[in-house]
Amino acid sequence: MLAMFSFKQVDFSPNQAIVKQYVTDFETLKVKAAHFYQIVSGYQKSNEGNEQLVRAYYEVRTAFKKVEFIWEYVDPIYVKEWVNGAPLPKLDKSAPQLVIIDPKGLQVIDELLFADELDLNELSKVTIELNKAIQDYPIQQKLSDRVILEGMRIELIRLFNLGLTGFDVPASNRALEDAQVVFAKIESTLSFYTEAVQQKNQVVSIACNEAIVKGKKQLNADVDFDSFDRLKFLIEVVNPLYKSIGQMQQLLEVESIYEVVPSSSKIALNYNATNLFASDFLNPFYYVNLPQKRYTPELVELGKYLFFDPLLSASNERSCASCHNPQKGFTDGLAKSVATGFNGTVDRNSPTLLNVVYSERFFHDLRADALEDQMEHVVASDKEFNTNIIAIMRKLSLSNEYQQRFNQLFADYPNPINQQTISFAISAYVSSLHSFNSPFDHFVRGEASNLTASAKRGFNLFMGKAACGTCHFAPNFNGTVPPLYIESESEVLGVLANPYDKVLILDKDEGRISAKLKEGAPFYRYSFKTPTIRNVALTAPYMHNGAYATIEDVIDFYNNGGGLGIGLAVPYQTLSSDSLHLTKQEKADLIEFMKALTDTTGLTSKPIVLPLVQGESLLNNRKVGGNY
Amino acid sequence: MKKLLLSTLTVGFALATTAQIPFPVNIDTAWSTKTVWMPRSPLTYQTLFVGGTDTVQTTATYGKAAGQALAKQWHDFIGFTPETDPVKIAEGDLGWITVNHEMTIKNDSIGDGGGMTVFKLRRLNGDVLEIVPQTLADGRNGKFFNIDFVNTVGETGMNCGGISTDDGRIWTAEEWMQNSNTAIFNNGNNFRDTTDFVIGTTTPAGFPGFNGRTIKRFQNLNWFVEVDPKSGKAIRKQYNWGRAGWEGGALMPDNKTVYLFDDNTPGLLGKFIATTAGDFTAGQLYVHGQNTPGNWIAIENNLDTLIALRTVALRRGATMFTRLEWGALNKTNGKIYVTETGNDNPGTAFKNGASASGTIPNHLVSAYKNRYQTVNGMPFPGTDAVASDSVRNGAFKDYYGRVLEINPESGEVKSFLEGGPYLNSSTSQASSAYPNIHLSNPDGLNFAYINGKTYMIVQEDLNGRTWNRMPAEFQSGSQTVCESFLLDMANANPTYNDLVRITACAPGAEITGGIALDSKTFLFNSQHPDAGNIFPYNNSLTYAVSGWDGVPTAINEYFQSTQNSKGFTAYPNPVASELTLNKVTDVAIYDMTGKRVKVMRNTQKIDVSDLKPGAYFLLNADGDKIKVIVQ
Repeated sequence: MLAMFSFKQVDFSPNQAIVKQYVTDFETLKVKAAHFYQIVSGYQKSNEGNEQLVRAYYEVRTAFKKVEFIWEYVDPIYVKEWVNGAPLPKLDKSAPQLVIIDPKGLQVIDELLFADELDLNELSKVTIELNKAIQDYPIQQKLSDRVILEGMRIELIRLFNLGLTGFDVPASNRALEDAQVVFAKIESTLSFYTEAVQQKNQVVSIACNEAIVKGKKQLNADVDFDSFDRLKFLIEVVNPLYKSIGQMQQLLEVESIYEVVPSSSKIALNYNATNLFASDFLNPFYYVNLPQKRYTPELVELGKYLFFDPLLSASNERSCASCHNPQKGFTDGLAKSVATGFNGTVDRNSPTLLNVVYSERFFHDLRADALEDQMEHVVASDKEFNTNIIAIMRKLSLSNEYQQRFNQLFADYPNPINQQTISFAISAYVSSLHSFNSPFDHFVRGEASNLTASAKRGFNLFMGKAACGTCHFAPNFNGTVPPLYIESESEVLGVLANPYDKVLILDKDEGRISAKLKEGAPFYRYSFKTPTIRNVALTAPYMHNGAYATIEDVIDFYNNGGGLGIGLAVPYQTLSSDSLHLTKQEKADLIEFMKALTDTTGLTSKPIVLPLVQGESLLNNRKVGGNY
Repeated sequence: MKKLLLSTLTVGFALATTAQIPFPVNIDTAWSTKTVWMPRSPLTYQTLFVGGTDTVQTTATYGKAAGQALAKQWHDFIGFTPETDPVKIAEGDLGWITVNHEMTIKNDSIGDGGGMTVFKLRRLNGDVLEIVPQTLADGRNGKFFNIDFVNTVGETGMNCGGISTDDGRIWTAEEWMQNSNTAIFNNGNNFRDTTDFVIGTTTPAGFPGFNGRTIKRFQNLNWFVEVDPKSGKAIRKQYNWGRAGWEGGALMPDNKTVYLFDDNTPGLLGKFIATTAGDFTAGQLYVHGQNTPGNWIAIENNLDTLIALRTVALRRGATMFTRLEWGALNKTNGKIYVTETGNDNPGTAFKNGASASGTIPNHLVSAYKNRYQTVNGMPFPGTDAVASDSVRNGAFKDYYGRVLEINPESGEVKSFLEGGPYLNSSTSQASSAYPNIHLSNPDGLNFAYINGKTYMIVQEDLNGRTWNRMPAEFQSGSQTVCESFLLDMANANPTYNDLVRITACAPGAEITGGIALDSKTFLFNSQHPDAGNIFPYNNSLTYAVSGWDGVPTAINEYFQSTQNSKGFTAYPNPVASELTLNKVTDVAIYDMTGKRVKVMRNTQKIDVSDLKPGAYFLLNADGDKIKVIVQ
């Protein structure tokens, strides 16, 4: 009886106080945005520089950073589109034809203010839009504790991946100042809950406080962007706080997102995870059509048989493993995979399947919306399986063993061997290829203490000076964008046809522009998916065309500013053409770090025999994995 | 300063009324509570046609023999061609159902691009429907058939909306605007054939007046296409109606006049008047131009003009709409209603259209002024001309859209039902009654006539969820939830407050294609639903909701009947998919062991389809509790 009525007696005032503070902070943002707009409107170019503009801009940034953790959590699309999205053009996905949206918001202003030559017209245009977007916005005035607490956890992911890496300030080098503002806001917000948490659990309260103290000290120390120790901040501050706030949410009996969203919603981030490098930090079932409740060891086993079974191809000689060999990190070691009939090659380099599931879209050109759709393309391609799904269904039905397995797992389907069930099985196997137990993961999670000093320096370079982490986002180090991990990015790098040639020319593969009917925008020409860096030691050669033989050569390519950096014309290159100025030692450190991301433990076994086929006995001569 | 002070006061007020109630994780279940038994829903659900699963019978295509293929997905428009043979009607045959596939993909058997599937429906006792096996004139035999476009009129792309007439004629509309052969070839993924297309070289032969004309392959897309559901073949591309991003259309009772809706910003409102009733191969095409006497601009029947219809129309002063979608004739009052779905960010679309001579519509100027007043708390400080300039310059972030009413007599277009609600930028907050009271991006539109009343069926297709247009609680998770609403047309000046949300969707699905076959059965499509649903709800599918004539009172009253009563009640009980509470409240659901399983805030509807069958407790913010049974 007591428990039932207790909720009525507790005066839960943190919520009111935090909401009130949020509204005040938002009103301040409106004032600062209006002020910046006034300064820009009245600005005359002079020799005195643009300090006045920069100062007013920094005030808007600071005001924005104070509301970011809530605003971005409750209206992420708005903030991205109008206030703080990447400074790149993008497509209006809801439009019924190709509509390009010009970049706008703070990141565009950041680049304009710190350009060699100030484009006042452009700055004025972007500022007018930013001011209007902020002034017109109706402030949320009703926020649950769930939104506040989860918003802070998401803000920690954002801070680590987009703030401290410099992603969010492409030109002004203000990453550390922003981080201080964000961190102070988290500290003050948490303080409203301190008393209630202390009453429930001292341990959590103390852990939280320790992380706050350390975080403040590290962020306020006398360090610059390049020398800030991101690994230490991750281990001592971000991860402990991420865990503590999650515990606070449970202790205070605040509902979680899973108790709130419609039952059909899938969420990419696993809110129950307690560490940014936990092996279950992301929810693989968000990215695949395969429903979580169907994911069983039996289904993974069936998928594994199908993966290695050349029955899926017209010739009965080619399987998924033909291009995705477990011994080579699920690639084939070739620049481009061999085509059917050993007649030339397919168009691109075979990507690893380890952790491949954590992606919104598939293929180097992002043409498939789901892992299951990716398979359809392979089935139909005359260079690959060269068949169709009805033929595959017929051949699998010849096998009593396959029939039994499908019948058992998909008894609710009128015809258990069908397009969806075949793709679910393969998808289950591919989803099982989790690789989150590398030496680096163990170190970050505190399960091991042996990471070389070089690898530690390499991580800090990766997330800082070398800017790798602004596209290869932690923890999977691929193009799936934090903090929500629901969108896959592609980049224009200016990859060369052959970096070892005397005459250097751009690879002619146009990538994303010709991949999807709805994405034929000029800025997607030569644009390719950002793959995971994990297991890169096993997956040479590199890039979509496999033209780069070693990691060293890839790093040199980036260090030189991509195609544009070596003087080629690469319209819309998204990689900065400036040199990264990496020293020899720094390059070696980066490689040492990337090698510490290798983990194929328990993932490389093959079936010993394939299911027998009745009726067409010649098919039983087929080899596990096929002949390619 | 004054404004800031005002808003601070309001904040204080808002907070005082919205202090948050935490629900304990566990409760003692030993307390006694009553189970309120409510009537069962009279509606029944039945799945008819599942994409990617049901097999369609295909014709000989691309040199491949006739055979079978798995049906395409992305179901959109539904057409209905009633059976007219009295013998068949006596056996229960209702007629032919055509379903659009809003996609483009290469397919060796069905044909490249988009597509359409047809099947015949029969009603058995107890409103149960079944698919009738058929043998078509071309020898195809089975239950589902693809409409052959490739061998008849050339491929189609993105079959979205269409026209379904009372006498069962069906046009499918090719929406997504194509601009080059390279784009439609798409690296070989979409249209294999990009050779020039010669009109009249396919069977049935082409189009009177244009036969023998050669056009680019991409120019053979983006037309209305008439199909014959009974033979499973296309009849003709309706070249004389012009080429645009056509989404829908509606035929008038004269069987001559057809209204055409272009899904674009700026989009056209077209009108075609046939010379002879029922023969749409000859007549006069118009586009709406509000500054033209009579409101209509004539377009000559010249193929080059028709291919470039939108460009030509804007040059001649056409009214610029914001993405017209579906429309239908209200047979009760003779007017046409069409959804104008809105645009989150019109950008330079109107500016470019206006510089070509397109006209900013009067209804958008009014809507912009109204929105300005709501957002800023004061009237728009300028003339209509200034407001019109603002709209032209992209200042109207028209993120809700509206339903328009077309008066066929005068050619006047006015806003019938504005989407909303818009919020004040500094003092207001998202409606606590969301999603019951709102309308965002109306898309599908049809009419139903039941027990002497006329209802508009409106379906949303959300463009976005930004601008705080949904409460924070609805922003979480990956999916937007599109609603289906009913509006009693007896109301001449409705607002979004008068819409009644109907629970007629499969779990997690987005609804498209809603059409009333008669007073018993509505068909809907569930488009690209979540694969996590149980089969078959994890594919695009066509399903029937029957029993509407069995609803005891007027439908809107029926759906509202359990709302706003005293105490704390939930309907229906037992419940299978969705509970409706009698008021908007914070509520937590507990299982039989007393463990909290769901918390909903500011809600009146609770989706329980993911809960295991059994008894549950509901606890609201006032501490009231009830027991419900989930089936």
